[in-house]
Amino acid sequence: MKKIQTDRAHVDLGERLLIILEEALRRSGRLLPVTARQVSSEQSKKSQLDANTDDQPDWYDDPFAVIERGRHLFGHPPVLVPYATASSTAKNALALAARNGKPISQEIRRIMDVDRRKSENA
Amino acid sequence: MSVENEAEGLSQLLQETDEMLFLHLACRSIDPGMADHALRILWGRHKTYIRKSCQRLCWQFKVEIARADDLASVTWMKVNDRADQYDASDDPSFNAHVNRTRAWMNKIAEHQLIDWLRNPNLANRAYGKELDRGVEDYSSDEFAKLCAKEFQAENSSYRLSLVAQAFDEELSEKEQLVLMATVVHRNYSPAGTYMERGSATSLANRLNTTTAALRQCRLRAWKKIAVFVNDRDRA
Repeated sequence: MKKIQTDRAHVDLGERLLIILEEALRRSGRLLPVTARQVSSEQSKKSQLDANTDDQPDWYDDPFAVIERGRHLFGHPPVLVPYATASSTAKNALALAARNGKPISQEIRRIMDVDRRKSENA
Repeated sequence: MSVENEAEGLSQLLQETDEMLFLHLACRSIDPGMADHALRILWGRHKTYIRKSCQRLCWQFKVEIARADDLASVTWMKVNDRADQYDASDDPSFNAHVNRTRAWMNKIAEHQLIDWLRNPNLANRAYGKELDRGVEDYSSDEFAKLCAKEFQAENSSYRLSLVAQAFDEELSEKEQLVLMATVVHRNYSPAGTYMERGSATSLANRLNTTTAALRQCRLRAWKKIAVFVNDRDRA
């Protein structure tokens, strides 16, 4: 593999930039918090962190069953379906999760309809 | 132990910090009964949070949401098996331990998803020459050369909020995904690299593009952020 000549100062700056980007994404909630401070800060900002438990599978009530299931999955990793081929049902489920399980408000739906009409007429 | 004593013991266990519960869990060979109780209490405290975290992870990395419960299962399995590795908080308060546990579990879940994304079972994963190369052949100086004039790397809260705002407002969905993947993969890759070659190939496949196009996308995205932050700073 070709070795790339790098300027140490540039490498250091590049590393710092990525660290800044990561910190920004973790603070803004675009990435999961991975320090106690980030978790604490997130919880003070968001009151609705609880998952929608309506769709919780029955087996998720028993920690021992979950751990056994995890052990099996660890040895037999799931096949992840690429986003581009995900069905519209899956996309709807993702959108629902992004809204924390809440329905689309009338105001947002109205804006979406206007946008859709604009793009259809463009 | 009488039923009353056991009930009293359990009630005391409910008040324990996560650190003590992990200690009981790690000592399963000495007292399996107590380890089971400790696990149930930890489960009660964190199961909903972790499930939500896994759902968020799947959403952020464009993985079907149905995989969130699989991810949560493996996360709990690892937490159970690695209880002795729990790194307690310096802050002795109850909530500090809760936050510490959640941060740890988030990290485990994130790492697990990265592993799955690298896994050869991934649909449409490419094999062959590209994967033989080990790691991506670009380095952080590409970012730096691009941004050195545009972006002074001061880590202030104001700048962090500008970076986050630029990320949300200026980047396309694809650019956001590429940058997020870069940041996360970097944490789990060999020193000095951002993404293992196989991970880059796999991400490119998931986005129906090439690794070369991914690199361009990454640089373009970072440039947009740099310009946005610079403009706001001048204003």
